[in-house]
Formats: sequence, C-alpha cells, structure tokens
Amino acid sequence: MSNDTFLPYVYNGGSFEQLYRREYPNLVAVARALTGDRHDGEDLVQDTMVKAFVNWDRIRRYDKPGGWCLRVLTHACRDHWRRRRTRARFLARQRNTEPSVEGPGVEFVAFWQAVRRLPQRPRLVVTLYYAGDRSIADVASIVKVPEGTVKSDLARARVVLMTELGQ
Amino acid sequence: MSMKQGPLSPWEPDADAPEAVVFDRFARSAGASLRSEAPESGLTTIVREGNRKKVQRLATEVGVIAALIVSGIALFEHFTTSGRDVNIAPVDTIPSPTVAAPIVSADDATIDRWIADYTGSPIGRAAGDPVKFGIMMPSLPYSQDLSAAANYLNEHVGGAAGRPIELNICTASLSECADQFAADPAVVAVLENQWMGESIGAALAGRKPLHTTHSSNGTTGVAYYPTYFETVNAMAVQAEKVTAPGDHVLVIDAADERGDSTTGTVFVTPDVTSILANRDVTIVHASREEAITDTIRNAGSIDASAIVLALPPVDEFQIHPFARTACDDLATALDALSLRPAVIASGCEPHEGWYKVDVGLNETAPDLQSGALAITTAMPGLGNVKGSPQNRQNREVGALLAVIRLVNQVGGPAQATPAALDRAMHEFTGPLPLGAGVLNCAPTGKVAERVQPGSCVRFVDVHQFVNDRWIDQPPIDLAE
Repeated sequence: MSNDTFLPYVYNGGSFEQLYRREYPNLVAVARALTGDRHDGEDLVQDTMVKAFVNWDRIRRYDKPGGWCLRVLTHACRDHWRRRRTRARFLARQRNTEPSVEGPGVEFVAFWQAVRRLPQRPRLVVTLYYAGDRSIADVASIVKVPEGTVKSDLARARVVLMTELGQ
Repeated sequence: MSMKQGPLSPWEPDADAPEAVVFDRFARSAGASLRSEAPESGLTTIVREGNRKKVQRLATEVGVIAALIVSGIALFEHFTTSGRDVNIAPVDTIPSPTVAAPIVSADDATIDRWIADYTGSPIGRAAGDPVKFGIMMPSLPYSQDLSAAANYLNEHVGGAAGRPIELNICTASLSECADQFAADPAVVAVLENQWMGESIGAALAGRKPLHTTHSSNGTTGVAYYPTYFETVNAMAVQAEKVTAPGDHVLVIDAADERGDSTTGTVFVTPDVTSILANRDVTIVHASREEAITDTIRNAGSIDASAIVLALPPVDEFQIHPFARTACDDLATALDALSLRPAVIASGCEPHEGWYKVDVGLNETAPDLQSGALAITTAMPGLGNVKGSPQNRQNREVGALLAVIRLVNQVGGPAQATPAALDRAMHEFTGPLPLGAGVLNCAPTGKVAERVQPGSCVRFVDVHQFVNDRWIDQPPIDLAE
C-alpha cells in the first residue's frame, strides 16, 4: 500500500511524476509476478509508463490512471508470456535451463511459479490482488469481470495454490 | 522444482487463524517481495522516450495529412484539366475559412497594453542582451507555445524588461540541465510545465528559481507552482458570509471519491468545520450511487440556508467528471425539493443565484481571461497547435508573464537573483496563484490554516450568476 502523504486531486491536475512514483512499485510487482523475470518486468513497466506519458493529456483525467496502467501492463505481460513460451519451448529443446528469479525468497518464488501455472484469468486476478495490491473492485474493473467472479477466482485459486504448495 | 517435495513451509503455523487468512497473509508478503521503488533514472528515460514517440506520432500525422492533400490536389488537377471548356466564364468563389476564428476579439493594441500593464515591460520591440529562461525537457506543444509567446513578447511588448527573451531548452539529464542553468548568469529562472517539478526542484537545489505550472505535493527545491487547495476553504467563507450564526449549512463533499481513489483521504471535511464553527454544519459525501435528492433528505438538510458543493476546483478541462454530474444533480434536486438555499460551488454550469468561487487557476478567471487567453489566441501559430489556445497553454503563458512581471518588479534581470525573486514571489498575490516549494509563504488566519504549505495565494474571486450573467462579488481574503 502506498505510504503517500496528503495528495488530493493528485492526478487530474497532478503530475506524471506522481503517477510514476506511486504506481511503479505495484506495477513492477505485477510484471515480475506475471513474467517471472525481474528485468523483463521492469522493461514492460517502462514501456507502459512511456505509453502513459505519451497519452498523459487523456489519462490524467481518468479517475484511476493507475488502473489504466495496470490494464496496459497486463496486456503487455500476456503478449510477452506468449512470446516467451514459444521461446522457452525452443530453448528447452536446445538445452536444459532453469529460469531464475532474482530477489524474493525461495518460498515466494515457488508461490509465483505456481500462480503462473494457473489459467489466465485467475492468474491475472491473483496477481493484481496480491502483487498489485488492488481491491476486489479495482481488479474487477481492470479485468472487466463482475466482483463476484473475482472473489470466486480468488477462492478457487487459493485452494489450488495451497494444494500445489503442499499446505 | 516440485512444489510438493519437501516442507517449503511458506505459511507460519497459526492454530488460531483459518487457513484462508494465513494464506492471504503469505500471498501478500509474496506480492510485497516483488515490489521496488521507482528508480530515479527511469523518469528521465521515460520522458525522453515519450517525447521521441510524440514527435514520431506528430510526424506521421503530418505525413498522412500531406499525402492526403497531395492526392487531393492531383485528383483536382486531373478533373479540372480534362474536358475543360475555355469558353465558359470563370465563376466567382468565396474562399472557405480554414482557420478557426479567435475566441477573444481584443485587438493587438489592447492585448499589448494589457501585457505591458501586467508585466511592467515597455511596449515595443525588445533590444539588448537576452534574458534567458531555462526550459527543462519540454513537451512539443509547450515548447511551441512558449516559443511563440516569447517571440510575440520580444516583437511587441519589450520581452522581459525591454530585453529579448531567450528560451534555453535543455533535453539532457535533469542534473546536467540543472548544472547548465545554474552556471549561466543570464538564466533568471527555470520553467517547467507538467511533469517533474519535484525532481527538477531537487536538481536545481535553489540555485535558480523554478516555476512549475502544475501543482504538486510540494517541491524539494525552491519552486513555485499554482495551487488550488484554497477554493474549498473560500467556499466555506462565502457560506459564512451569506448565512447567519446558527443557520444550517450543508456541505456536500463531491470530491470524496476522488480523494478516496488516490489516497483514501477525505480532504474537505475537517477544514470547513473549523471555518464554519458557529454554523450548524452537516457534511455528507456525495456518491455516484445515491441521487443528491436523497443525499439532502437523508442528511436532514431540507432546511439548509446554504449548500456548499465542494468539488475538485481544477480548471475546466481537468475537472472530475463526477463534479459536473454533481452540479447538474444538485440543480435538479433543488428544483425537485423546491429548495432555494444559497449554493456555493466551483466549476459548475451557471444556475440562477449560485455563487462561483474561483481561485484563479482556471482559465475563466477574469484576469487570465482578459490577458493570457487573449494573448494565446492572438499569438501567431498558437491557434494552430493541437490543444491550443483553449487548453492548458494559457496557464503556461500566464506563468511566463508572471515571472517576467517579477523580474521587472525587482528592477530588471541584473537584480533578479534567486533571493530577490523569492522575496517577490512571497508577495505575489495573483492573478495566477503560485505556491513556493519548501518555503512557507501561506497567509495565516483561520481560513488559511488549511492552505497547502507553501501556497502564496491570498485572494479568491467570487462571482454570482444573476439574470443570466456573472456578477463580481467581493473577493475572499484568505489572510482575514
């Protein structure tokens, strides 16, 4: 959760810089969770922020420019995921490599690996909720599904992940 | 790695907590483990890359338009040259207008006189050594508009203090630009229009005054920016003026959702309570889900003598979409309930009897309307820039004029040291409200106590819509 101090009217009339500082940590967490790679995640976040900058005149009038960024980012991650899956299959045929993730402890790495094995929508929902630190309403708005669907996705994913991780 | 091998023990054993709660706690930690702060270098890269893309996009648009024009001309030539009958007399045609008519009809002499009166620069062409303004990583429209403004001022209204204005546009890194500006004694101030006031302020570290035209939560250097935190306080003062002690005042906080969506902070409530201390105040938060008719009824405020519709008081192009809805809903609700309280709002469409409180940031403020808007409309080129002249370039040009005024006020560029401009900025009262970074030049007093730290604005304009026109009311002095 952001620890910002008093920032009313921050976006509509606020600065791109504030959006950047506020949203970056959650965006990078979502990107890392979805891609499994810190550098790829950071690159995707940067691409997203460039898009936000280019369209800032329009985006700053939105209620939640951060939601716009997350939507753009998750689409970019999905495309990246597809490209990487193709590349990974190719590499797997060439040599036996284990993807590495920097930073988090082994239990968290295992958790996010398990999340990435979930079907697309629950994967996105879990990532936005836990890595993106978004409310259920926000997640529903970004994924464009009813809040009830988000809740049921979270509940089902919880069961799957707990089983998967050997709880 | 198999997840079922070995005890990974991601969850702390906790006999008292249900599994789902323990999982939730763990998953949130897993999310937190992936977060990292935004890198300082990232912003510069994003701005540079974004500006490059904007230029590319503009070039593409221009190319497409040019191609269409060339194709059109070729087609026209084809049809007019084939089968032309030279014996038919040419028909008179009326050229169709291709440029939008200016929205302000003031002539050049009037505009020049206004600028000269406001800035203190002499009418006529500027001459002598240039007075430089550092411009940090500008967007294309900002760069174009500011250049057009500088050219106009140099040609017609004596630049800055009679000397030509030179814009020193820097696109290097923030620290490089800051060092470059700081080392150049001809640079009197640095201007910035929307993105990086805090970072630039930090890079300049007080070595040059910075004027940034978009608000921020304060700056770490010596910087000035327009503020709009005062409007809601001024609304409450106006409510106090039009009511008597003990009267019921309803404050509808229509900005609540906005505040909540960004910080979770409700930012109107505590301020107006203290300002309206001797009134019977009810504060409610407007909601998209509830009609304002019900909001008023549920708040038991049918008897309210005044209603403050507290809205995000930003300019007309940035106003929160909900704000407009709230204005219209309130008007409808008052009709439905047959209520006629005094209504104090900002940014609403005119309604008979309603008050408009206007801190001067928005382009409808009288001084900006007669000045900056006229200038940006009249300046060659500005009317053709996308988004101009009705968009935010008015404010940017207004900011340039404000700084020129201060340069003149302190005795010219030679006397315009950062310290001298600081002092001048502290005494600045408008029409463009300015704030000053870490400096606290806010007026004191019960109304001003909630003013954003560093805000230098003092007077807030009030107008009332009577018989289809806005009537000026005495302005509110936040220092009272």
